[in-house]
Amino acid sequence: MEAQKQFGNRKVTADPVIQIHHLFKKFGDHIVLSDFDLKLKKEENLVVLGKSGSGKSVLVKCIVGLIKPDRGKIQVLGEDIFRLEEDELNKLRTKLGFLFQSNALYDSMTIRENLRFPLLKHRFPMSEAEIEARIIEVLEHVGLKHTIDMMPAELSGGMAKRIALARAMVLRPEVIFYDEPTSGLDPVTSREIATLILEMKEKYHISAIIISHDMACVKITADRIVLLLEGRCYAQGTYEELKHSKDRNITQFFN
Amino acid sequence: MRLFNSNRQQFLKETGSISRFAGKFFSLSLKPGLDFNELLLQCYTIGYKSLPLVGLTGFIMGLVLTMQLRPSLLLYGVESQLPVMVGVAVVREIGPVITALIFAGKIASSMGAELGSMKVTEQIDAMEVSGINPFRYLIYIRILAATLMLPVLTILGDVISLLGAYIGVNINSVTSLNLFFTQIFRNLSMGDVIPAMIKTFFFGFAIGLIGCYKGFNSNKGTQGVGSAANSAVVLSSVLIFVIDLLAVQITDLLGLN
Ligand SMILES: Nc1ncnc2c1ncn2[C@@H]1O[C@H](COP(=O)(O)OP(=O)(O)O)[C@@H](O)[C@H]1O
Ligand SMILES: [Mg+2]
Repeated sequence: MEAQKQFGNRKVTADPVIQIHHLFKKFGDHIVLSDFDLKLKKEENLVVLGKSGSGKSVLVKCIVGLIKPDRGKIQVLGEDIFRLEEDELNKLRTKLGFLFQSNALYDSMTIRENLRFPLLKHRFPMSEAEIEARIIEVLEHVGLKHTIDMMPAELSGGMAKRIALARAMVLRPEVIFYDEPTSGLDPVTSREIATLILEMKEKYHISAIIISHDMACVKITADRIVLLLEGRCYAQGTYEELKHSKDRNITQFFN
Repeated sequence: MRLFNSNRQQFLKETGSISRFAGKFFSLSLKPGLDFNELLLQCYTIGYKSLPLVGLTGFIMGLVLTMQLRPSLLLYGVESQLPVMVGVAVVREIGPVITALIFAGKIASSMGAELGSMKVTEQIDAMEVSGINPFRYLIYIRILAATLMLPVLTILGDVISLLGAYIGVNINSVTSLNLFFTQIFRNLSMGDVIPAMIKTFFFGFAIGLIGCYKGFNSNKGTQGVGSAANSAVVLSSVLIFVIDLLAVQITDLLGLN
């Protein structure tokens, strides 16, 4: 880890929620991630910062097992995700939430059905009334209870993002991955989304990996920032630490 | 030669991955946990979508076939055999194949487009990360529904086709509906009906499989969705003829002709 600049020295208190060692992934000849390491601590909001096309989405998709890396080890909640059987992996995935850059709402279903879907399919021991209560609860949390019978196509960009957020939290996950949660939104809506993300941690004690280059959002949400550059973790630190760095590669994001 | 080689490689690769796709279907069918409501819903949607077209084309085929066959039969003085000829042609070959082709055009393309756009908009990924197996929930059900519905549609198509034939017969002579159908059924054996019905299950399976495969493996972008739908129709239509060819060989070998 020579290239990695260490800022600050906080102590690790609990077992890390996510641990990545020497992750390597290429598409054809194009190396996206090379020797990438990362640790996410409990109840931490970790921002992954990087230019467009630097492999941030590939990174989080590797963590949830959507993309298989070529080499490396990924441990999520203490389990090595590439060693798991399909059923075990699916069970682990119920503890993870994922907010897609494109929202990925099921466009043939109403908002209620979008939120019901993960609850029903896992046959949790929940009654109809409990399921409905959970749906209302997450919708209230994102402030969109009135959209419950609408179709995703009827929502504005900001509303769709909130519903996607509601769906990511409906299974009460321990970790949520946010892939560019504020991209394409106006500054006011962006700030509201960022505040919601912060609330997730404070209210529900959820750990999170947030991919973003919207510095207003980063400033609100980040406990720690990791800078992804040329497939590696180039630097890490708090918002203030990185902002006052002398390195152009780091400060370019802050202007 | 280079082009041929790379095409052949492409072909083998595709065949391999379609086979793996089919393998997944069969391994899932051994596991419990079929969502019966979802299956019924899919069967209903599929049937409902294609029935009008199957009915219309079947009717016209029956009518036209009768009108085209009459002069030849007249020539040999066996015009009275017209219902029998048409009945055998429709039940054994034309009904199953036309219905399957219409079904492919309607269902394989809509499966390709629907699953393709779900793939492209990451809805399938979203399902997977929430711990739901998209193959079980989306693909398995659709393939099964296509396999079950095509035989039903073929029977309906056959009946409508024969009604068309009845009208065709009645253009030049008067026969009662009762007599017409009695004449047909007296001359149809189980050897005509059963193999024809069995092959429709295979047609339905091929159409569902290819439609889902193409959609599920669709490329990014709107063009990807379009070409998924398009190639689903083309490939499944070709497969229908290949299966038809195999079916006739097998029934021949078994002496069912
Ligand atoms: N499925 C894929 N096949 C081939 N290349 C891919 C695939 N997914 C991503 N890439 C490539 O990986 C690189 C990183 O992509 P991505 O992680 O989406 O970037 P970003 O940091 O903007 O999220 C890009 O150059 C992209 O072209
Ligand atoms: Mg991205």
